[in-house]
Amino acid sequence: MAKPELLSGTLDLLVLQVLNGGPLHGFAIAERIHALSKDVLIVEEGSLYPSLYRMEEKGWIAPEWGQSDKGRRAKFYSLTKEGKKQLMAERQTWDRIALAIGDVLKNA
Amino acid sequence: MNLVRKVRFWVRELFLRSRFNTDMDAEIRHHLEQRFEKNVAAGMSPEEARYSALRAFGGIDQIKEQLRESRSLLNLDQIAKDFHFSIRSLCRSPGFTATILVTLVLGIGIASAIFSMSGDAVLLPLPYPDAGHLYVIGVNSTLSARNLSRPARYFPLYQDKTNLFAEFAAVGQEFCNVVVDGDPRATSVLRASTDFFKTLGIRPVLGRPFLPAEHFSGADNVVIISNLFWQQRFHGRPDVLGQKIRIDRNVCTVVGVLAVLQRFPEAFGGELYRPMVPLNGASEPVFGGWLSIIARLRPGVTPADVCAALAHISLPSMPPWAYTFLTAQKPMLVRVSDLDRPDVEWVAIGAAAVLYLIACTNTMNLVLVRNLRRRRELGIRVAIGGSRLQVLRLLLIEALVLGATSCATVLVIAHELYPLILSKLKDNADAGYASYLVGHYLGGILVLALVATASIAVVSSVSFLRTQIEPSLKDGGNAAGESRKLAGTRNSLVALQAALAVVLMVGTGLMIRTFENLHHVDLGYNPEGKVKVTVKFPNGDGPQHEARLQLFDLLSQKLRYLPGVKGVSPGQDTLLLGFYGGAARLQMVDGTYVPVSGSYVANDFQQVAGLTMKSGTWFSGARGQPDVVVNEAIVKKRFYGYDPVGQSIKLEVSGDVEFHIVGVVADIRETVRSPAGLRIYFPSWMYPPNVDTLLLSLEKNPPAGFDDLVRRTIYSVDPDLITSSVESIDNQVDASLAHERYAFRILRTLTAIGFGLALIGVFSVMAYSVDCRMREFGVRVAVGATPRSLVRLVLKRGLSYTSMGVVIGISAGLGLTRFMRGMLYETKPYDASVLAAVTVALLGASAAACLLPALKASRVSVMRLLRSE
Repeated sequence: MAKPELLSGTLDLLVLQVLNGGPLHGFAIAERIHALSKDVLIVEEGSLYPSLYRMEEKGWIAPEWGQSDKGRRAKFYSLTKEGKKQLMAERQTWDRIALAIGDVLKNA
Repeated sequence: MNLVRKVRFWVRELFLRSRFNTDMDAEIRHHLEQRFEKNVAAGMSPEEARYSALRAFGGIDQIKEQLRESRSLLNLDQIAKDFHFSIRSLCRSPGFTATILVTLVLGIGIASAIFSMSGDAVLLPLPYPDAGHLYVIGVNSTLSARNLSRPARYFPLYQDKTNLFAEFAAVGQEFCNVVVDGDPRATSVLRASTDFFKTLGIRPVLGRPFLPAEHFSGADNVVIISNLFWQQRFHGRPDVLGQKIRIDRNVCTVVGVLAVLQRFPEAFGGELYRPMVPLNGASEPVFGGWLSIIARLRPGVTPADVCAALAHISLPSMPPWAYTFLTAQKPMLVRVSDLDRPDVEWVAIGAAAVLYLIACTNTMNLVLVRNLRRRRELGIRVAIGGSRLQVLRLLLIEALVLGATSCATVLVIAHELYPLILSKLKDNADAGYASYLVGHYLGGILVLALVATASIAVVSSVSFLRTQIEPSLKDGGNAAGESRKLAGTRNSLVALQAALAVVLMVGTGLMIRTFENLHHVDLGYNPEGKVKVTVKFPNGDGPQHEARLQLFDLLSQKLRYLPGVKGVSPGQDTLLLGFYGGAARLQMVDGTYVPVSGSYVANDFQQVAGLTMKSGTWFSGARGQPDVVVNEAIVKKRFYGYDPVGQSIKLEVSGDVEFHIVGVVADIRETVRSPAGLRIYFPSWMYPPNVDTLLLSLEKNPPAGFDDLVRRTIYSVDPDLITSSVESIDNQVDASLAHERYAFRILRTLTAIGFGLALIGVFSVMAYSVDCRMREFGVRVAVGATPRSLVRLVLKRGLSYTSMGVVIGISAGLGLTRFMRGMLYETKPYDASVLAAVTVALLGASAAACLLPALKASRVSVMRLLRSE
């Protein structure tokens, strides 16, 4: 079966959720989403970095350079206070949509 | 985002852009290294791992570009790169860039100069307080243009009408010998009444206005000078107040200096002002002095009310002939805003606007053509990852570079050249002050440059957005990919330029016609070599009777000895008076009276003036015989064309006195434009007080310094005499056509430039069109077309655009040149010969402009075309 495409608008939600667990660099964020989705979801680098830069501009995440676990210089992103609020709002939206889709599938 | 974080973000964006790029590269490199290591750990060889990592990432450059673009701020360093690229790209096309810059500089520069110069006269409100109620008081003569000066006697009579006028003032002009630092020059001096400056809301910028006490004889040796006088005669010295200048025989002190280019209504502006002293009332000679009178009406008072009241003024006692003359004239009021000649300024503004439009249209066309030629280059840019938005930004920046460069060039030129250009155009040293008016034309230059830049930007972006990129990459990148709409736009722009050029050419053609007609006007004498010298007497009119005639005879004898002088004749000012005023009333056959003008002249006047006798002889001047000479106009009007020599006429003021006509002389014109009025020539002994002018006839126009010679000669006869003016009649003729000449100069220059620009437009479009169609021409040649037929094809296409332009331009021109009616002379706005000449000139020049591209088309080589496929 082909890997499903990420729904439009959900990448931001996933990145925010992953960062809620602590600062991570870009590669780690992609790997974490892949791992947490049990290898279902693949984040394209071409989508990831534009999403990260966009959320940084909006103030939801804040970058900081640091040392990776392999001792390399890497740019880590962490969730800001506004990011946490945005995560909660997007989760509520997602839950509502998921419920609505579920209702349609159950009753159609 | 909290405030601190926001500030840090913006600081980083604005000032640390290079850091952004470095960090972005480092971040992406880190990601790739991580991916590489993971692939190696999964068992790939290093080469496979690297390749897989890169493939998984995707187009790195595109992503980097996307990340740079994603920043919401202006992306300053990318913009800086675009500027750098645009400048390089423009430098690589020096011909195109130079043509655009020259076109824009001409269009913006000339338009801004003329708008600032003429705009003041027509667009700015008059600087006088409550200008809508400000009027000049004059009279309507029955046969000619209005007369806006009044005998000084009227001044106190009008001034009494305080129920009509809220404010009331007057000036009287005299030409005096003004000496500053030992340098004497004839200068216009205006005597200003008490409230003159207050009425116009004018205050000196240095010093003070006149005090009420200075408006009395003996206390009036003070003077307010114009700013131009201060600059020219005092060289702008800061301690000008208190300086002494000699005006005729009076030593006057400078008490005030007026503002730069201080505006006055026509006839109220001068170089020097002195206080007017009270007149002598009834003892004032009837026509002793003439004043220009200005008044502000009280609220609720209309011009009609004023005219009615002034028509019933009781005049003081005066000779009957004077009474008749004055009561025959009807008072009239002219609003101050109607005094200037706005039609001339509107023509100048209109012509400048048309030239500016031609320049903009030409530029738009050139940019359009260039962008079409660059379709391939722009297509490649999009293909390798640039977005259409990025390319659009590049084109807009190019437009900005062109606009900014031309604006900067115009500003530099304006600072250096505007004063020179404007003073040459206006024939007026005052215009040299334009350098002080930086604020005026600076604003105009910026606005015009902005509009031109916007027009380039619009045409550039629209042409790019409407162009299909892919076809231009596939083939040679020439004709393919250009939409029909764009081609139509191009052709329309050429037609528009041609139309605008035609409008200018029609205007110029009509003015050329007008000047031709004016130069062929027969004044009735040859003005070349004729000089009028007006003499006045201090404090009155000098000797009245025989003594006056003897004095003027003596002056004539002395002046006859000046170098180049062939003859001198004393009398009343007669040649090129500048107005017609029917002073007396001639009795007609049916007993009615018509206004007629009289000139009291010497018996040698006809010979010195070079008038042509039509029949009979000039009067001999023998005393006691009331012999007169009449002009042809009187022969037609009074004698129905029959020779009146030997007959008599009567004038109303003279009662039963009969004047014997001894000769008929050809008409002479009082002004260049209007036909001669009825005129009778009387021997000067009949009324010596009217003798105040010496007519000199020279071999040719007077040389420089002649003015001084005349003044010194007159001074040597009587040091009390004042030489008011020494005027060459030829110069007077020129001066009377100053407005027309000004309009003509502007039209001629703008037409030449507009014409040239329009031809550049035609040439560039045809050159491009031929380039695009070379393949088609090759095919035509291959199937049998001759070179001549190709030339005809190209010429036909080119001439079709300009023909359309000619038709539109002539229609528009006919509509617009109606506004020039006031300036034309014996020329209709739809003069067929002018329209025909314009059509032939533009079509001929367009054909010449199309010739080079046409010849290129005719030389198409089929073999070369096939090889290049």
